[in-house]
Amino acid sequence: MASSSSSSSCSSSSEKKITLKSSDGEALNVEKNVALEFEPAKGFLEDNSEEADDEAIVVPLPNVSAAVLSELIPYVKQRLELSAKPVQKKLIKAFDDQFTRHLSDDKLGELMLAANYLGVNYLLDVLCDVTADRIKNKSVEYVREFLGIQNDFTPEEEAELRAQCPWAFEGVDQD
Amino acid sequence: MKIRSEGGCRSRNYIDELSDDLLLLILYRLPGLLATHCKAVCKRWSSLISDPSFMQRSIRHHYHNHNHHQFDNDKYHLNFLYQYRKDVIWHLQSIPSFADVKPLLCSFKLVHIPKHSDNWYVLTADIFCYESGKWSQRRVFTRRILNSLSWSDSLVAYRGILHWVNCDQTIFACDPLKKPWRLNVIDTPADGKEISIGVCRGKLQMSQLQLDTLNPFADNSAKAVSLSVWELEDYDAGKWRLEHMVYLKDMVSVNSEDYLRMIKDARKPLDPVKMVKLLAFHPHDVDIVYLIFLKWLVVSCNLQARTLQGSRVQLSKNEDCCSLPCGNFCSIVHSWRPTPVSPLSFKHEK
Repeated sequence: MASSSSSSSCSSSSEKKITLKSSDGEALNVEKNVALEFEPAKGFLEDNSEEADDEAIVVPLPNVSAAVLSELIPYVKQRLELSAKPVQKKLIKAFDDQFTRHLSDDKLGELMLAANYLGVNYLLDVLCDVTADRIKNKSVEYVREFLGIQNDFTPEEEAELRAQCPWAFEGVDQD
Repeated sequence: MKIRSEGGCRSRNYIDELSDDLLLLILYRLPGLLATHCKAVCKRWSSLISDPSFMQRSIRHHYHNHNHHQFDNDKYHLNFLYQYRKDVIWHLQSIPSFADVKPLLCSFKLVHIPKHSDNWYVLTADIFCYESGKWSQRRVFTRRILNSLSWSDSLVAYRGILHWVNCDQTIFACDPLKKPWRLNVIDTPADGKEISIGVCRGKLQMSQLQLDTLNPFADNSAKAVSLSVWELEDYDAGKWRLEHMVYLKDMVSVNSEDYLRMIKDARKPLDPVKMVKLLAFHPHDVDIVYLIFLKWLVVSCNLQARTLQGSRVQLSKNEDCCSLPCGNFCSIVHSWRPTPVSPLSFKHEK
Protein backbone atom coordinates (compact mmCIF):
# COMPACT_ATOMS: atom_id res chain seq x y z
CA MET A 1 0.00 0.00 0.00
CA ALA A 2 2.71 2.38 0.97
CA SER A 3 4.80 1.72 -2.11
CA SER A 4 1.93 2.11 -4.54
CA SER A 5 0.93 5.48 -3.10
CA SER A 6 4.47 6.76 -3.29
CA SER A 7 4.85 5.92 -6.93
CA SER A 8 1.49 7.23 -8.07
CA SER A 9 0.71 10.28 -5.96
CA CYS A 10 4.07 11.89 -5.36
CA SER A 11 4.70 15.17 -7.08
CA SER A 12 7.43 15.51 -9.59
CA SER A 13 9.74 17.39 -7.23
CA SER A 14 9.81 14.52 -4.75
CA GLU A 15 10.70 12.09 -7.44
CA LYS A 16 13.95 13.88 -8.07
CA LYS A 17 16.83 11.92 -6.71
CA ILE A 18 19.66 13.27 -4.63
CA THR A 19 22.86 11.45 -3.88
CA LEU A 20 24.01 11.26 -0.27
CA LYS A 21 27.59 10.33 0.46
CA SER A 22 28.10 8.49 3.74
CA SER A 23 31.09 8.66 6.06
CA ASP A 24 32.44 5.45 4.60
CA GLY A 25 32.27 6.82 1.08
CA GLU A 26 29.17 5.03 -0.14
CA ALA A 27 26.73 6.87 -2.37
CA LEU A 28 23.02 6.45 -1.70
CA ASN A 29 20.26 7.67 -3.97
CA VAL A 30 17.25 9.15 -2.18
CA GLU A 31 14.20 11.15 -3.13
CA LYS A 32 14.69 14.86 -2.71
CA ASN A 33 11.87 15.19 -0.17
CA VAL A 34 13.55 12.59 2.02
CA ALA A 35 16.91 14.30 1.73
CA LEU A 36 15.30 17.59 2.75
CA GLU A 37 14.37 16.04 6.09
CA PHE A 38 18.07 15.93 6.93
CA GLU A 39 19.23 19.34 8.11
CA PRO A 40 22.78 19.18 6.72
CA ALA A 41 21.48 17.99 3.36
CA LYS A 42 18.84 20.70 3.33
CA GLY A 43 21.46 23.34 4.03
CA PHE A 44 23.75 21.92 1.38
CA LEU A 45 20.98 21.88 -1.22
CA GLU A 46 20.00 25.44 -0.43
CA ASP A 47 23.60 26.57 -0.79
CA ASN A 48 23.88 24.82 -4.12
CA SER A 49 20.45 25.69 -5.44
CA GLU A 50 21.89 27.26 -8.59
CA GLU A 51 22.88 23.83 -9.80
CA ALA A 52 20.35 23.04 -12.47
CA ASP A 53 20.63 19.33 -12.25
CA ASP A 54 19.79 17.87 -8.86
CA GLU A 55 21.01 14.52 -10.01
CA ALA A 56 24.51 15.89 -10.20
CA ILE A 57 24.55 17.00 -6.57
CA VAL A 58 26.34 14.81 -4.10
CA VAL A 59 25.64 15.72 -0.47
CA PRO A 60 28.43 14.68 1.87
CA LEU A 61 27.28 13.41 5.28
CA PRO A 62 30.62 12.75 6.94
CA ASN A 63 29.14 11.79 10.33
CA VAL A 64 26.81 9.00 9.27
CA SER A 65 27.75 5.57 8.01
CA ALA A 66 26.05 3.90 5.06
CA ALA A 67 24.64 1.21 7.34
CA VAL A 68 22.87 3.78 9.49
CA LEU A 69 21.71 5.81 6.53
CA SER A 70 20.17 2.79 4.89
CA GLU A 71 18.10 2.25 8.06
CA LEU A 72 17.15 5.88 8.36
CA ILE A 73 16.08 6.48 4.79
CA PRO A 74 13.20 3.95 4.64
CA TYR A 75 12.02 5.12 8.06
CA VAL A 76 11.95 8.78 7.09
CA LYS A 77 10.32 7.95 3.79
CA GLN A 78 7.50 5.99 5.37
CA ARG A 79 7.08 8.47 8.15
CA LEU A 80 6.73 11.26 5.59
CA GLU A 81 4.06 9.32 3.77
CA LEU A 82 2.23 8.67 7.02
CA SER A 83 2.29 12.25 8.17
CA ALA A 84 1.14 13.48 4.76
CA LYS A 85 -2.09 11.56 5.25
CA PRO A 86 -4.66 12.51 7.85
CA VAL A 87 -3.84 9.48 9.97
CA GLN A 88 -4.29 9.14 13.67
CA LYS A 89 -1.37 9.63 16.02
CA LYS A 90 -1.87 6.06 17.14
CA LEU A 91 -0.89 4.82 13.72
CA ILE A 92 2.30 6.83 13.72
CA LYS A 93 3.07 5.53 17.16
CA ALA A 94 2.52 1.96 16.05
CA PHE A 95 4.84 2.57 13.13
CA ASP A 96 7.49 4.03 15.43
CA ASP A 97 7.14 1.11 17.81
CA GLN A 98 7.57 -1.33 15.00
CA PHE A 99 10.67 0.45 13.85
CA THR A 100 12.33 0.58 17.28
CA ARG A 101 11.24 -2.79 18.67
CA HIS A 102 13.98 -4.81 17.04
CA LEU A 103 16.77 -2.29 17.32
CA SER A 104 19.79 -3.54 19.21
CA ASP A 105 21.17 -1.32 21.94
CA ASP A 106 24.15 -0.37 19.84
CA LYS A 107 22.00 0.41 16.84
CA LEU A 108 19.81 2.56 19.06
CA GLY A 109 22.81 4.65 20.04
CA GLU A 110 24.11 4.94 16.51
CA LEU A 111 20.72 6.03 15.25
CA MET A 112 20.40 8.55 18.04
CA LEU A 113 23.68 10.19 17.15
CA ALA A 114 22.70 10.19 13.50
CA ALA A 115 19.21 11.56 14.16
CA ASN A 116 20.73 14.32 16.24
CA TYR A 117 23.32 15.17 13.61
CA LEU A 118 20.74 15.07 10.83
CA GLY A 119 18.21 17.04 12.86
CA VAL A 120 15.42 14.48 12.55
CA ASN A 121 13.74 15.47 15.78
CA TYR A 122 10.73 13.19 15.62
CA LEU A 123 13.02 10.19 15.37
CA LEU A 124 15.24 11.54 18.14
CA ASP A 125 12.18 11.81 20.38
CA VAL A 126 11.21 8.24 19.71
CA LEU A 127 14.73 6.95 20.30
CA CYS A 128 15.04 8.83 23.59
CA ASP A 129 11.72 7.33 24.69
CA VAL A 130 12.93 3.86 23.86
CA THR A 131 16.26 4.29 25.63
CA ALA A 132 14.56 5.67 28.74
CA ASP A 133 12.10 2.79 28.64
CA ARG A 134 14.89 0.27 28.48
CA ILE A 135 16.67 1.60 31.56
CA LYS A 136 13.51 2.37 33.53
CA ASN A 137 13.30 0.49 36.84
CA LYS A 138 16.74 -1.01 36.39
CA SER A 139 19.60 -1.12 38.83
CA VAL A 140 22.53 1.22 38.51
CA GLU A 141 24.71 -1.75 37.51
CA TYR A 142 22.31 -2.66 34.75
CA VAL A 143 22.21 0.90 33.43
CA ARG A 144 26.01 1.01 33.34
CA GLU A 145 26.24 -2.32 31.59
CA PHE A 146 23.41 -1.54 29.20
CA LEU A 147 24.91 1.74 28.08
CA GLY A 148 28.52 0.70 28.45
CA ILE A 149 29.35 3.37 30.98
CA GLN A 150 32.48 3.17 33.05
CA ASN A 151 31.89 3.64 36.76
CA ASP A 152 34.23 6.50 37.65
CA PHE A 153 33.29 6.75 41.31
CA THR A 154 35.52 5.46 44.03
CA PRO A 155 33.73 2.83 46.14
CA GLU A 156 33.55 5.42 48.96
CA GLU A 157 31.95 8.04 46.72
CA GLU A 158 29.41 5.58 45.42
CA ALA A 159 28.54 4.36 48.88
CA GLU A 160 28.04 7.94 49.98
CA LEU A 161 25.72 8.68 47.05
CA ARG A 162 23.68 5.61 47.78
CA ALA A 163 23.51 6.45 51.45
CA GLN A 164 22.05 9.88 50.66
CA CYS A 165 18.83 8.37 49.40
CA PRO A 166 18.76 4.67 50.15
CA TRP A 167 15.11 4.34 49.21
CA ALA A 168 15.97 5.26 45.63
CA PHE A 169 17.83 2.00 45.30
CA GLU A 170 15.09 -0.23 46.56
CA GLY A 171 12.68 -2.14 44.43
CA VAL A 172 14.50 -1.98 41.12
CA ASP A 173 14.49 -4.86 38.68
CA GLN A 174 17.70 -6.79 39.08
CA ASP A 175 17.98 -8.22 35.58
CA MET B 1 22.16 -10.20 38.32
CA LYS B 2 22.50 -11.08 34.69
CA ILE B 3 25.35 -9.37 32.91
CA ARG B 4 25.26 -9.60 29.18
CA SER B 5 28.15 -11.59 27.86
CA GLU B 6 28.78 -9.48 24.77
CA GLY B 7 29.25 -6.39 26.93
CA GLY B 8 33.01 -6.44 26.71
CA CYS B 9 33.29 -6.44 22.93
CA ARG B 10 31.18 -3.36 22.34
CA SER B 11 32.56 -1.71 19.24
CA ARG B 12 31.59 1.80 20.08
CA ASN B 13 30.38 3.43 23.27
CA TYR B 14 27.78 5.79 21.93
CA ILE B 15 26.45 7.13 25.23
CA ASP B 16 29.74 8.89 25.88
CA GLU B 17 29.50 10.47 22.45
CA LEU B 18 26.11 11.99 23.19
CA SER B 19 26.26 15.64 24.03
CA ASP B 20 24.95 16.71 27.43
CA ASP B 21 21.81 18.08 25.80
CA LEU B 22 21.12 14.78 24.12
CA LEU B 23 21.80 12.75 27.21
CA LEU B 24 19.49 15.03 29.18
CA LEU B 25 16.72 14.32 26.69
CA ILE B 26 16.88 10.71 27.84
CA LEU B 27 17.24 11.50 31.53
CA TYR B 28 14.24 13.84 31.54
CA ARG B 29 12.13 10.91 30.47
CA LEU B 30 12.94 8.87 33.54
CA PRO B 31 10.51 9.03 36.40
CA GLY B 32 11.89 11.22 39.17
CA LEU B 33 12.85 8.49 41.54
CA LEU B 34 14.85 6.66 38.93
CA ALA B 35 16.63 9.80 37.87
CA THR B 36 17.74 10.21 41.45
CA HIS B 37 19.21 6.77 41.63
CA CYS B 38 20.91 7.21 38.27
CA LYS B 39 23.15 9.75 39.96
CA ALA B 40 25.21 6.76 41.04
CA VAL B 41 25.88 5.66 37.45
CA CYS B 42 28.86 7.92 36.83
CA LYS B 43 30.18 11.39 37.61
CA ARG B 44 28.82 12.92 34.45
CA TRP B 45 25.31 11.68 35.12
CA SER B 46 25.56 12.74 38.72
CA SER B 47 26.42 16.31 37.82
CA LEU B 48 23.70 16.52 35.18
CA ILE B 49 20.99 15.17 37.48
CA SER B 50 22.14 17.23 40.45
CA ASP B 51 21.82 20.46 38.49
CA PRO B 52 19.04 22.60 39.98
CA SER B 53 17.40 23.05 36.60
CA PHE B 54 17.16 19.32 36.02
CA MET B 55 14.03 18.73 37.99
CA GLN B 56 12.29 21.74 36.55
CA ARG B 57 12.90 20.67 32.99
CA SER B 58 12.05 17.09 33.77
CA ILE B 59 8.68 18.13 35.18
CA ARG B 60 8.01 20.26 32.16
CA HIS B 61 8.86 17.36 29.89
CA HIS B 62 6.38 15.10 31.65
CA TYR B 63 3.79 17.83 31.55
CA HIS B 64 4.00 18.34 27.81
CA ASN B 65 3.55 14.65 27.27
CA HIS B 66 0.55 14.71 29.50
CA ASN B 67 -1.46 16.63 26.90
CA HIS B 68 -2.49 19.32 29.30
CA HIS B 69 -2.59 22.94 28.37
CA GLN B 70 0.72 24.68 28.19
CA PHE B 71 2.98 24.53 31.18
CA ASP B 72 5.52 26.94 29.91
CA ASN B 73 6.54 28.79 32.94
CA ASP B 74 10.19 29.50 33.43
CA LYS B 75 9.74 31.59 36.48
CA TYR B 76 9.58 28.99 39.16
CA HIS B 77 12.63 27.52 40.78
CA LEU B 78 12.25 24.40 42.76
CA ASN B 79 15.51 24.88 44.56
CA PHE B 80 14.45 28.10 46.19
CA LEU B 81 10.99 27.89 47.52
CA TYR B 82 9.84 28.00 51.02
CA GLN B 83 8.41 25.26 52.98
CA TYR B 84 4.77 24.55 52.77
CA ARG B 85 4.22 20.98 53.69
CA LYS B 86 6.65 18.19 53.93
CA ASP B 87 6.26 16.83 50.45
CA VAL B 88 4.18 19.26 48.45
CA ILE B 89 5.10 22.10 46.19
CA TRP B 90 2.38 24.44 45.18
CA HIS B 91 2.80 26.03 41.88
CA LEU B 92 0.30 28.48 40.63
CA GLN B 93 0.67 30.16 37.34
CA SER B 94 3.61 32.54 37.48
CA ILE B 95 4.00 32.16 41.20
CA PRO B 96 6.79 30.18 42.71
CA SER B 97 4.96 29.21 45.77
CA PHE B 98 5.85 26.56 48.24
CA ALA B 99 8.22 23.73 48.42
CA ASP B 100 10.00 21.32 50.48
CA VAL B 101 13.58 22.45 50.86
CA LYS B 102 15.18 19.22 51.80
CA PRO B 103 18.67 19.20 50.31
CA LEU B 104 17.71 16.22 48.25
CA LEU B 105 14.41 17.08 46.79
CA CYS B 106 13.67 13.70 45.40
CA SER B 107 10.18 12.84 46.42
CA PHE B 108 7.46 15.41 46.28
CA LYS B 109 4.24 16.43 44.67
CA LEU B 110 3.76 19.59 42.70
CA VAL B 111 0.41 21.28 42.45
CA HIS B 112 -0.12 23.53 39.51
CA ILE B 113 -3.30 25.52 39.32
CA PRO B 114 -3.75 26.84 35.81
CA LYS B 115 -4.45 30.51 35.52
CA HIS B 116 -7.28 30.30 33.09
CA SER B 117 -10.22 28.25 33.99
CA ASP B 118 -12.94 27.68 31.41
CA ASN B 119 -15.51 27.87 34.08
CA TRP B 120 -15.60 30.43 36.85
CA TYR B 121 -17.21 27.97 39.17
CA VAL B 122 -14.67 25.24 38.68
CA LEU B 123 -11.21 25.17 40.18
CA THR B 124 -8.75 22.88 38.45
CA ALA B 125 -5.48 21.56 39.82
CA ASP B 126 -2.86 19.55 38.00
CA ILE B 127 -0.87 17.41 40.39
CA PHE B 128 2.52 16.00 39.57
CA CYS B 129 3.97 13.12 41.50
CA TYR B 130 7.73 13.23 41.07
CA GLU B 131 8.18 9.66 42.12
CA SER B 132 6.06 8.23 39.35
CA GLY B 133 6.59 11.08 36.90
CA LYS B 134 2.86 11.28 36.28
CA TRP B 135 0.41 14.15 36.19
CA SER B 136 -3.18 13.90 37.22
CA GLN B 137 -5.97 16.40 37.32
CA ARG B 138 -8.57 17.27 39.94
CA ARG B 139 -11.48 19.63 39.88
CA VAL B 140 -13.67 21.17 42.50
CA PHE B 141 -16.97 22.93 42.00
CA THR B 142 -18.04 25.92 43.98
CA ARG B 143 -21.10 28.10 44.15
CA ARG B 144 -18.98 31.22 44.23
CA ILE B 145 -17.39 32.95 41.32
CA LEU B 146 -13.68 32.38 41.35
CA ASN B 147 -11.34 35.07 40.24
CA SER B 148 -9.26 33.08 37.88
CA LEU B 149 -6.88 35.91 37.16
CA SER B 150 -5.88 37.29 40.50
CA TRP B 151 -3.95 34.39 41.88
CA SER B 152 -1.03 36.70 42.07
CA ASP B 153 -2.64 38.94 44.63
CA SER B 154 -2.09 37.03 47.77
CA LEU B 155 -1.46 33.44 48.33
CA VAL B 156 -0.40 31.61 51.42
CA ALA B 157 0.13 28.11 52.67
CA TYR B 158 -1.16 27.70 56.17
CA ARG B 159 -1.86 24.53 58.13
CA GLY B 160 -0.93 22.55 55.07
CA ILE B 161 -3.71 24.18 53.11
CA LEU B 162 -3.52 26.71 50.34
CA HIS B 163 -5.22 30.04 51.08
CA TRP B 164 -5.88 32.89 48.72
CA VAL B 165 -8.04 35.98 48.52
CA ASN B 166 -10.92 35.70 46.14
CA CYS B 167 -12.50 38.59 44.27
CA ASP B 168 -15.36 38.81 46.74
CA GLN B 169 -12.97 39.63 49.64
CA THR B 170 -13.30 36.23 51.15
CA ILE B 171 -10.44 33.84 51.69
CA PHE B 172 -10.61 30.50 49.94
CA ALA B 173 -8.86 27.53 51.45
CA CYS B 174 -8.33 24.18 49.86
CA ASP B 175 -6.00 21.22 49.73
CA PRO B 176 -6.15 19.56 46.32
CA LEU B 177 -4.31 16.52 47.61
CA LYS B 178 -6.98 15.65 50.10
CA LYS B 179 -9.93 13.57 49.08
CA PRO B 180 -12.61 14.67 48.66
CA TRP B 181 -11.30 17.98 47.47
CA ARG B 182 -13.18 20.68 49.30
CA LEU B 183 -13.09 24.41 49.08
CA ASN B 184 -13.57 26.26 52.36
CA VAL B 185 -14.48 29.90 52.54
CA ILE B 186 -13.37 32.23 55.32
CA ASP B 187 -15.21 35.54 55.53
CA THR B 188 -13.17 38.64 56.25
CA PRO B 189 -13.98 41.97 57.86
CA ALA B 190 -12.35 43.80 54.95
CA ASP B 191 -14.53 45.82 52.65
CA GLY B 192 -12.27 46.87 49.83
CA LYS B 193 -9.71 45.51 47.44
CA GLU B 194 -5.96 45.50 48.15
CA ILE B 195 -6.19 42.67 50.62
CA SER B 196 -3.12 40.61 51.38
CA ILE B 197 -2.76 37.60 53.58
CA GLY B 198 0.21 36.06 55.29
CA VAL B 199 1.24 34.09 58.32
CA CYS B 200 2.74 35.49 61.51
CA ARG B 201 3.29 33.66 64.80
CA GLY B 202 1.53 30.69 63.30
CA LYS B 203 -1.67 32.64 62.69
CA LEU B 204 -3.21 33.82 59.50
CA GLN B 205 -2.87 37.57 59.02
CA MET B 206 -4.73 39.85 56.70
CA SER B 207 -3.95 43.39 55.72
CA GLN B 208 -5.86 46.00 53.82
CA LEU B 209 -4.67 49.22 52.28
CA GLN B 210 -7.37 51.81 51.90
CA LEU B 211 -7.69 55.37 50.76
CA ASP B 212 -9.36 57.44 53.42
CA THR B 213 -11.54 59.89 51.62
CA LEU B 214 -12.55 61.73 54.81
CA ASN B 215 -8.95 62.57 55.56
CA PRO B 216 -7.81 66.13 54.78
CA PHE B 217 -4.70 64.71 53.13
CA ALA B 218 -6.83 63.01 50.58
CA ASP B 219 -4.90 64.52 47.72
CA ASN B 220 -2.99 62.36 45.33
CA SER B 221 -0.53 61.14 47.92
CA ALA B 222 0.17 58.11 49.95
CA LYS B 223 -0.50 60.04 53.15
CA ALA B 224 -4.15 59.35 52.95
CA VAL B 225 -3.63 55.64 52.81
CA SER B 226 -4.52 53.62 55.85
CA LEU B 227 -3.19 50.20 56.64
CA SER B 228 -5.15 47.73 58.73
CA VAL B 229 -3.91 44.38 59.95
CA TRP B 230 -6.10 41.64 61.32
CA GLU B 231 -5.21 38.34 62.86
CA LEU B 232 -7.39 35.28 62.50
CA GLU B 233 -7.75 34.51 66.16
CA ASP B 234 -9.91 31.48 65.84
CA TYR B 235 -9.41 29.65 62.57
CA ASP B 236 -12.33 27.30 62.89
CA ALA B 237 -14.80 29.94 63.97
CA GLY B 238 -13.43 32.47 61.46
CA LYS B 239 -12.96 35.10 64.16
CA TRP B 240 -10.72 38.04 63.25
CA ARG B 241 -9.10 40.55 65.61
CA LEU B 242 -7.95 43.96 64.44
CA GLU B 243 -4.29 44.27 65.42
CA HIS B 244 -3.34 47.58 63.86
CA MET B 245 -4.87 50.47 62.00
CA VAL B 246 -2.46 53.22 60.99
CA TYR B 247 -2.31 56.05 58.50
CA LEU B 248 0.83 56.32 56.47
CA LYS B 249 0.87 60.04 57.24
CA ASP B 250 1.52 59.21 60.89
CA MET B 251 4.52 57.11 60.11
CA VAL B 252 8.00 58.48 60.80
CA SER B 253 11.01 57.58 58.77
CA VAL B 254 13.88 56.12 60.77
CA ASN B 255 16.50 57.01 58.22
CA SER B 256 16.74 60.41 56.63
CA GLU B 257 14.64 59.46 53.61
CA ASP B 258 11.18 60.89 53.42
CA TYR B 259 9.36 58.06 51.76
CA LEU B 260 6.02 59.75 51.58
CA ARG B 261 7.64 62.72 49.93
CA MET B 262 9.20 60.39 47.39
CA ILE B 263 5.84 59.00 46.57
CA LYS B 264 4.40 62.45 46.20
CA ASP B 265 7.24 63.51 43.93
CA ALA B 266 6.87 60.46 41.75
CA ARG B 267 6.70 61.50 38.15
CA LYS B 268 3.43 59.87 37.34
CA PRO B 269 1.13 59.94 40.30
CA LEU B 270 -0.92 56.82 40.36
CA ASP B 271 -3.82 55.83 42.43
CA PRO B 272 -2.37 56.31 45.95
CA VAL B 273 -3.37 52.85 47.00
CA LYS B 274 -1.53 51.42 44.01
CA MET B 275 1.67 53.19 45.03
CA VAL B 276 1.91 51.18 48.21
CA LYS B 277 1.61 47.45 48.40
CA LEU B 278 2.02 45.00 51.19
CA LEU B 279 4.85 42.68 50.34
CA ALA B 280 5.02 40.36 53.33
CA PHE B 281 4.30 39.90 56.98
CA HIS B 282 7.08 39.34 59.46
CA PRO B 283 6.96 35.67 60.37
CA HIS B 284 7.26 36.26 64.11
CA ASP B 285 6.62 39.92 64.86
CA VAL B 286 3.04 40.98 64.36
CA ASP B 287 4.06 44.66 64.52
CA ILE B 288 6.21 44.48 61.42
CA VAL B 289 5.09 44.32 57.83
CA TYR B 290 7.00 44.95 54.64
CA LEU B 291 5.64 47.39 52.14
CA ILE B 292 6.73 48.14 48.66
CA PHE B 293 6.56 51.78 47.61
CA LEU B 294 6.35 52.88 44.01
CA LYS B 295 6.89 49.31 42.91
CA TRP B 296 10.58 49.32 43.67
CA LEU B 297 11.32 50.50 47.17
CA VAL B 298 11.05 47.93 49.93
CA VAL B 299 10.23 49.45 53.29
CA SER B 300 9.97 47.78 56.65
CA CYS B 301 7.08 49.21 58.59
CA ASN B 302 6.75 48.98 62.37
CA LEU B 303 3.07 49.40 63.10
CA GLN B 304 3.55 49.69 66.85
CA ALA B 305 6.32 52.30 66.81
CA ARG B 306 4.89 53.84 63.62
CA THR B 307 8.22 53.92 61.86
CA LEU B 308 9.35 53.26 58.34
CA GLN B 309 12.75 51.95 57.42
CA GLY B 310 13.92 51.46 53.88
CA SER B 311 15.71 48.27 53.15
CA ARG B 312 19.12 48.27 51.59
CA VAL B 313 17.77 46.06 48.88
CA GLN B 314 16.02 48.02 46.22
CA LEU B 315 14.39 46.59 43.19
CA SER B 316 15.53 48.08 39.96
CA LYS B 317 13.45 51.09 39.11
CA ASN B 318 13.27 50.07 35.50
CA GLU B 319 12.11 46.62 36.26
CA ASP B 320 8.51 46.10 35.49
CA CYS B 321 7.17 45.23 38.86
CA CYS B 322 3.57 46.00 38.10
CA SER B 323 2.56 42.45 38.59
CA LEU B 324 4.76 41.76 41.58
CA PRO B 325 2.70 39.55 43.78
CA CYS B 326 3.56 39.13 47.40
CA GLY B 327 3.75 35.43 46.76
CA ASN B 328 7.00 36.06 44.95
CA PHE B 329 8.70 37.05 48.17
CA CYS B 330 9.69 34.88 51.02
CA SER B 331 10.52 36.27 54.40
CA ILE B 332 13.74 34.68 55.46
CA VAL B 333 14.68 35.30 59.04
CA HIS B 334 16.85 33.68 61.59
CA SER B 335 15.16 31.32 63.93
CA TRP B 336 13.19 33.13 66.54
CA ARG B 337 14.60 33.01 70.04
CA PRO B 338 14.75 30.77 71.88
CA THR B 339 16.65 28.88 69.22
CA PRO B 340 15.24 25.40 68.95
CA VAL B 341 17.54 23.08 70.77
CA SER B 342 16.97 19.38 70.78
CA PRO B 343 15.95 18.29 74.25
CA LEU B 344 18.60 16.73 76.40
CA SER B 345 18.07 13.10 76.92
CA PHE B 346 18.46 12.08 80.51
CA LYS B 347 19.33 8.52 81.04
CA HIS B 348 18.32 7.17 84.36
CA GLU B 349 20.21 4.11 85.14
CA LYS B 350 18.30 1.56 86.99
